[in-house]
Amino acid sequence: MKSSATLRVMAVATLLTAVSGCDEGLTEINRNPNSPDQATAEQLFPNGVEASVSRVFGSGLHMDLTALWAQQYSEFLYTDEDIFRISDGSISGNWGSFYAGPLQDFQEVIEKGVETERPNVAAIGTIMQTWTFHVMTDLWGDIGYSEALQGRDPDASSTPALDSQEQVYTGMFAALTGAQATLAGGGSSFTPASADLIYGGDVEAWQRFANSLRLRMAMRISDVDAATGNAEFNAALAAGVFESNADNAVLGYHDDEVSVHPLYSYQQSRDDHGISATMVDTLKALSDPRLAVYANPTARNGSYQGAPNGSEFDPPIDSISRIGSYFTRADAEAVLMSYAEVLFLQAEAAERGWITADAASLYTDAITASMEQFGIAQAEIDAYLAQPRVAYNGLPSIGVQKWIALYGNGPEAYAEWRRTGYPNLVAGPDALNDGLIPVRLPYPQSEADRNGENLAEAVARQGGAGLNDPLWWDVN
Amino acid sequence: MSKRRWLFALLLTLVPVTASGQSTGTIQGTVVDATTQAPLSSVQVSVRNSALGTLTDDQGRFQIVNVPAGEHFVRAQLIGFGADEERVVVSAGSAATVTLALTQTAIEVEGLVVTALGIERAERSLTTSVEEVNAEDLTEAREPNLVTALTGKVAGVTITNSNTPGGSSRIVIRGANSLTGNNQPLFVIDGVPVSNAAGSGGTTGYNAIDYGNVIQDINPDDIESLSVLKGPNAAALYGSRAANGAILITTKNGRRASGTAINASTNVSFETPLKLPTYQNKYGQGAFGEYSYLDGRGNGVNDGTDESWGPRLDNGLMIPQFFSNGEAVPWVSHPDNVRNFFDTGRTVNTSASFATNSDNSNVRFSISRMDQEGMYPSFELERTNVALSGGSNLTDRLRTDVSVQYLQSDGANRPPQGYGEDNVMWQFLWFGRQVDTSLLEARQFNEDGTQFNWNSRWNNNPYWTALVNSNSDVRDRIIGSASLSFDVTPWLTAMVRSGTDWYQEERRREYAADTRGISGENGAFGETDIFRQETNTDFMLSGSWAELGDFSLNVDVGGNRRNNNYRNDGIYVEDLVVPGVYARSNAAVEPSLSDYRERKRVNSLFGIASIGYRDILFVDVTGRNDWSSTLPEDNNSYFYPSISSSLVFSDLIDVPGLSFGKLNAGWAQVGSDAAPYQLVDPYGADVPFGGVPRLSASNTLRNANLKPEQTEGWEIGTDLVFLGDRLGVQATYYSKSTTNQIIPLQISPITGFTSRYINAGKLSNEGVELSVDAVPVRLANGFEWDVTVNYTRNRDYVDELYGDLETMVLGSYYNVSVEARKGERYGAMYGRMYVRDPEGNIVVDSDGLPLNSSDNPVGLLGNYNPDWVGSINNRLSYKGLDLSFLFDTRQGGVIYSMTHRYGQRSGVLIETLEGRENSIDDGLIVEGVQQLEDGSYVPNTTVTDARSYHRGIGAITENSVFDASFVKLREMRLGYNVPRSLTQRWGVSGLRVALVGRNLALWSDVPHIDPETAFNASNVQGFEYSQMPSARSIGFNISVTP
Repeated sequence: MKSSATLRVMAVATLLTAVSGCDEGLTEINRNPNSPDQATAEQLFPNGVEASVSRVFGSGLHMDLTALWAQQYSEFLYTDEDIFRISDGSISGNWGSFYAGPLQDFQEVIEKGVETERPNVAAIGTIMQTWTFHVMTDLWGDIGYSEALQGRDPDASSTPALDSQEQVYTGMFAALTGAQATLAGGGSSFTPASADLIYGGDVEAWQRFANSLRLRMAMRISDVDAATGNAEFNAALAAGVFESNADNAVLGYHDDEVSVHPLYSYQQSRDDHGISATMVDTLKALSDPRLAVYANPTARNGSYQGAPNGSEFDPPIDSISRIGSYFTRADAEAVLMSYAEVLFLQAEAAERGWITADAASLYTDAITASMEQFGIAQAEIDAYLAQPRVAYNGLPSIGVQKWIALYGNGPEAYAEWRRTGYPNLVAGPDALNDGLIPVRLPYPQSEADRNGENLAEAVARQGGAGLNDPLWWDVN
Repeated sequence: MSKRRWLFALLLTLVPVTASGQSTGTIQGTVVDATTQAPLSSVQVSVRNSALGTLTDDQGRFQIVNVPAGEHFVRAQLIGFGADEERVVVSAGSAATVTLALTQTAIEVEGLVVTALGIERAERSLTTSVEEVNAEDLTEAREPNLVTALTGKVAGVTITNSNTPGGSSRIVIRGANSLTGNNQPLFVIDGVPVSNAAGSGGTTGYNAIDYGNVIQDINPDDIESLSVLKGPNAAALYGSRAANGAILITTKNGRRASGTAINASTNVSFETPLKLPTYQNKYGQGAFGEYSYLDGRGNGVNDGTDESWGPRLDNGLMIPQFFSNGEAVPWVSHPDNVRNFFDTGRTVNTSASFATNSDNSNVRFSISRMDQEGMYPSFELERTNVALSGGSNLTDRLRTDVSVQYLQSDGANRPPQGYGEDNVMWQFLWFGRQVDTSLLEARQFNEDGTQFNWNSRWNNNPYWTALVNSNSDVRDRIIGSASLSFDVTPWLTAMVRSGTDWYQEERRREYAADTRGISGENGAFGETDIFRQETNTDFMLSGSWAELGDFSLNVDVGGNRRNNNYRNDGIYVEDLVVPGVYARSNAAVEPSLSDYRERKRVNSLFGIASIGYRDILFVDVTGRNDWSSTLPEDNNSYFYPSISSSLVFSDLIDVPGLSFGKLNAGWAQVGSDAAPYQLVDPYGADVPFGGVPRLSASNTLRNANLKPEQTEGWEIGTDLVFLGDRLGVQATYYSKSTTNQIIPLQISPITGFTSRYINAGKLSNEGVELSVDAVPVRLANGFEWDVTVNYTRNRDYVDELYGDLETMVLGSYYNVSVEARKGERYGAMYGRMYVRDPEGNIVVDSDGLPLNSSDNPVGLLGNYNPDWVGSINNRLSYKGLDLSFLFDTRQGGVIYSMTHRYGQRSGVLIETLEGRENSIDDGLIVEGVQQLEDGSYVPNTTVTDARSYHRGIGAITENSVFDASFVKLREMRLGYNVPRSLTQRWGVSGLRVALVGRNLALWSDVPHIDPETAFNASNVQGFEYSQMPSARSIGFNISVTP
């Protein structure tokens, strides 16, 4: 019978679907073919380094905030940040993208280093993570630190507490000390070493960077906790810091269209930043040969002209010097920390009596190191140093010269200006915020939405987190 | 598929009749269209209160034998028509003849509608909310996007469209269910689910192109009926896809044809902008009243500025300009420079169909073509559809139905959208008001081959974007299905069916050398290839017992396997070796590549039992179990039940004036599974840095323990007809809530992640749908006035999120975020507000400008959902002449207009004359208060200059938020059915001509823009981003039946 054949077909179809619940294929179908579900420390570390460095030295945090407020650069045409009109979007992007980004990548580098019994890998991960945390805490004060980066633990809270900045500093000193001690045991780190984009796997270089970073942090708290600062400074110095520009912590970008410097990418689509008039005028007053490196000549007449900060009135744009091509080339470098800075820190320590050394000669060594870093000829350096205006005169001279040397590192220059008050910066004529240069970044609204109680506690602990509320170490 | 109807017919004719011939007679006759008097085939004819019935043949004839002698009521029913019933007296041994005439009347309760799984049911037996849309309403005043065409035609449905030609249109039935997931209904064609994927981007992104939602590929001429299953109750049989309701489309397949039928129609319409921003024409480009062109890059006087704060126009000034080679030329206004940019659009639709129907088989072939040339210069969209469908009774008991459609959509130079220099409407905001766009149209190149433009710093010549750069997209799509059904016994039918919706799409964008915003010196190009397929295979066993004493019973059980496949491959070449050759082999740099693949499978078993009692009381029980690949292995099986019933109470009690009355109530539980790959955390590869490969941890934590979302809903409704058929009222109240939402919970990034997938949250909707159909005037001479009113009110509340979490940000653009905030309506918009004193006055600073900093309060600006939507359609008809006009409205809800915000900042909009009516030195006094040192407030008297005020105010987003309410004259048709007596002389049997118009008028308080705008197809709405002007279209339609 025809009908019974059809019935059999139907019965088979019924049976097939009836067992559909046990379809072995279902799980297989849901295997993600697009992305791996595992990664090694060697794959995560370069991503973390590039992401953190490009954020710290990129268009958002450096070019559009800290380098403007430290008056290294200025904005023309669209001057929102330069007059301190800050959108929440520019803040939240930076805050969240540090944590859910390089900090998490470094956290996994550390965990994988431990899992695979490669303590040096974990130690280098810790140094880069600490460098990133340090930039953050000097922008926001209290940040998530001791409870941070625990998201993969299903029992961990989705609303981690923020630590006081003092606690963060204590934690960072310990982290760097521990990492350096681990590396001091010698041995190798990443395999292949090319995964270390900064020092190519050189564990000794990483120790010097860890110690130099500790110097920077120790000096930062000099006004609020001189005793700790002094102790940490001396311990770090004794453990060995940068000894030449060859030791600098540098990420080099590449002229290959993809691994390009973030300022180069920015300038591909926009041209609205110049060098600050404050910087140009200072360099001109000192006949500083670095001017030709820091700035490009104007299109109008080939001279060097800065644009005033915080002014809504735009001069013709061909009479504004742009940021020097040295800093905006596709293959420009990001200098996380330089030998010059280490010498300035020592000069200041000597001036403060933390160490026994000749502050004046450390000061001239620092200027020399900076000049050499930017390729200035020895004759020009000598002429520069011979000027009475450049002569050492204590903290003010260190402050101004360090500010010049930190050109291109907005976050550090901005932090040091807040700590030392050098150079004396004045907000532009159209500045909002009662004409005051902000002394911190506000927290993003998204953190208030997602972690309100802990954030409120941190804000209360700091006595407010408005643009004019100073950080813990910013007591003067 | 309408298995049920022919099954029913077969059943009736095959049931052996045992009654003796002596006491029975025959009923015979014809069924015709009451309007045209044309015979109607395949009409279901039945004898009331009996199991007797048949279908009409291709001449509209029928014969029912073995009818017991006595008085009977014969009923004729056909989908899309109101039923007709006639009294007949049958004498033993003789034949009674009757003619039944069916009308396409506004009010029908005895007609047939298509319900879930394609089951056709009489409206009186419906237990849930299903609404049919008349196919003719989709074809005559034609709208290229099928979703947009439904605007104002169905209660309970909210449609927002992007206004972009060929762009997206978003449809939501009874409000959003899912916090972050899909909220649009399932589309099903002839029983086979099809894709309505969003084309991507919408109007959101930087220079993004809105490729539209893909259901617009369907040719409305092929649609026989369109049913809207509103919400979970009606769609329960679709299980994990039922939460948002379903739209069922039945295509024509020739079974309705009387013998051989041929139809041809053509539709031509012309489009012009309905509304453009109102610009000022007193001041041209520049700043501080000064401007002089040197190179357009900022080296002249303010010539890099793309704002209009420059010198006074039409004041006798002579100034060097972009076209004058340094010569000072008259500085004069060009008030129509934006309007002149837009052409008159033209859309031509032509379609033809051939259908034939014989005793055992039916075939229909159709072909159609749409050619659209947009208002945007060089925009073109061409669509070609070829459809072939048919069926055949292979034996008395075995039948097959096959349908295949080939659809091609071919777009060129769609206008780029969003915030970016390629969006011309964006450019006309950042604009020099004096610019004569006709000069830019005349040429795009300088003599040295570089771009000729009014500004060389920020913008591309708008004609460069439209004519020199290009974009194109081609989609080839096949939707097909085949089924085989077998009558196992007279009461049992078995069916197997397989269907697929398959498409491949190629999108390209090409940028010429010297395009702003492109880093490649010699130009750049990008290409995306998309492949999407959904295949469904199912079987169904259908049993029907019409006569069980007073009861009838229908049972359908079945199973389904669904496979989804998706692939997206992209390439972008940032620079070329030689300009003008957009090929990989001409790449000057390493191309950047991307690819994405996605698969999904769902297995299902389902069933429905429908019990009827005396054709008065109906109860439906359904159940479906889904096994989804996207859920954890040991937790991937879910069951979804529903029960609903209806009572035709007017058959029990006699209410004066009430000719029909029905109550229905139902409860359903349905769900929604996860998207693929949400269970395991991935690592993402970034481009190798200097050759060093790298991976990064994802920002989102996946969840290995996900469960499906669950929607539970109930509804009660009534369907009443008064005064014969002069007044009909349909009302439904519904309530539903969705729990266990699969949401990427936004968590503190301090955790190392910005979001984590969890099951949480509760979103609930309640609402009212009301439809009133009335015939206020019906005269003996044939004049009739029909009115249809639809009203929809939905409230969508966020009851729970997760723990103490107060809000979830659905999306945030330009300082305004759209949020799901606990205790508030879904879609709340938050942004920066004015600082106000206790009396509510705006507080200004010492310069007289409103306080404007990050210390300003962030507050609720409104909600993007309307308070209610409604429509009124009027139709006047007299003999062959008819006139109809449809108004629809959205009331309530807000829109955040970037046109307003940036047009004010840049000084191009009319309101920026405030403070410079006569001269830029006028200044203005902001209405507000200043705070004194002692804390008290005094009225502001400080004069501020217009530029400072208008340029700064935008950061206070409250300033650009408007009540989005509007009323539109959506559609107007004036049609004439040429009398047969005339047409037969010309050798055709039917001819209809119509004048049609769409979007003819807009009433709204929102300045500059059409508030009806979809941001994209996502849940983030309420934003307007330099929208393309919506189109007012006027045209005509000719339909011929030879």
